Amino acid sequence: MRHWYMQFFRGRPFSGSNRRWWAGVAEASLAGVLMLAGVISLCVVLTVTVLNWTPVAESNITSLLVFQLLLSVALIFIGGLWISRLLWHVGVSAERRGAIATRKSEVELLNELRRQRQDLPTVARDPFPPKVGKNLSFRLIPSPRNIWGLVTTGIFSVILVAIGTVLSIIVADSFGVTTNDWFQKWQSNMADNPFDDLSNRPWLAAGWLLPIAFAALWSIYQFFRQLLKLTGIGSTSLEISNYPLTPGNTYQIFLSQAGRVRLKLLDVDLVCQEEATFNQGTDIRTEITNVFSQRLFRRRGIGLKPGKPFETEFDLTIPSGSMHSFKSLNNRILWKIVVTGQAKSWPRLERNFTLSIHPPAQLETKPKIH
Amino acid sequence: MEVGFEDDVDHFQPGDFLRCEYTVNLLPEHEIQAIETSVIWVTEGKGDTDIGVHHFERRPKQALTPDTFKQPQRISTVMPASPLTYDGNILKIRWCIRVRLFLPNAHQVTHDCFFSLGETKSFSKISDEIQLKSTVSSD
Repeated sequence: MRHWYMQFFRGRPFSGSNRRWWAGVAEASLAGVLMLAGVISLCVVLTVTVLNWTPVAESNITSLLVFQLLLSVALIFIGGLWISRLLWHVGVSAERRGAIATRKSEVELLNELRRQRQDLPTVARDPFPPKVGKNLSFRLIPSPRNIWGLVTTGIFSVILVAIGTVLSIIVADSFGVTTNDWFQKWQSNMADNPFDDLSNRPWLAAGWLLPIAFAALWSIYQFFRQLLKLTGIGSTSLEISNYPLTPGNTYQIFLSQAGRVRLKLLDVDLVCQEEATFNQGTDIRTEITNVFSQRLFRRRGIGLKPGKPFETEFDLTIPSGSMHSFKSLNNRILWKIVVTGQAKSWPRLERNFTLSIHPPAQLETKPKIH
Repeated sequence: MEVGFEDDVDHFQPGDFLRCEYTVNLLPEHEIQAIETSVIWVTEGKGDTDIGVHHFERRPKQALTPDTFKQPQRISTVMPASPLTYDGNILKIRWCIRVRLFLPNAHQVTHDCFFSLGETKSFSKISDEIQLKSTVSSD
């Protein structure tokens, strides 16, 4: 499908990267519209069926109805799957994957990391271990972006659109906009219809329709805003000269930020957090507190252009004497690099890269006796 | 019950040999069912307590003789690389030697002797040092 878009935009005044970006936007929009069409179609089919329900069961479920239901569910399924696939692939370019695949010889470095982790059981294991880097030795893997906001907004939108569609049909039918005789049939046959109150009082249904329609539009706007937040500003890549890190040492960092917006501000911070999980009554609560924060890099007014990511290098020093990463059942000390960015009319960019800080001294082969 | 480190050193580095002795002063009517000695780290603070056992030894009643308590008993182990002793805001990690006596009728007596492993600074001190450095370099 993306290939088709690329062909469509060929010859138009777009660069290759622009075409790719627009292709991505078009793909995401089409997937969203497909899912929305499925939801609306499902609601229409179900509402009409309920309104036309007769005591003779055979006449209610027709082959056309089954086909319409299957088609609606298929549209929702395909749209949902498509959006999931888009989110899954976001931020990882084919070139980078290719570059990593060709550097298999450096995988030895990663095996060494695994061995070191086994010697330090309480040092927090990397949830996302680094990969071999392109410019420096290791490429840090960002923590997965929180897609629950998107999922929640999506579900909220679907519910509101469904309610809005049902109300629209009832209102249209009650005011005689539709030429069908559902309403009369329903009145004679469906004394216990769940829409009884609303159908008898069309103004009430119309009154409800307005705020629900606004809420549905707002939630759709929020859904696409969340989608853009996750996919719009391009991928952030951080590479580091050595890994894992130990206090007192300085490391080189390579930052690459892709995208097609103008960032008002781009910050990179080293952050250490304490995380404590505790029982409070019947609840399990987790408290997170920042115990250390240090600015590593700040730049104002960065113009990101397609195909030309912003790239810079700077140093990272883990303060001497600081605590290593730690993880036990209920407590954790987490080190991370936080990249934050602000662009006009865009949601705030935030990407986290977890670091594994090891204790300064490894276990010596010959114990020192006091 | 008394627990003491050799040479009164209660600060160790990863890889160091920890040696300590404990003595149990028993009255004639006391009867010991078992003794457990362990070298552990414990978390303190806002979160629920976690315990990590580095060294553990249990001596049941059969292994205890009347001479057992006449002289100090020794605990020795090589200290691991982590976790280091830490004094944070909502989390503290402390190392200790724990001696637990099991008495008749399910009674227990426990004694903890704390020590430190490694050298970590508090983050407020680290922040102060960084601020001082930046002030000196800007001057």
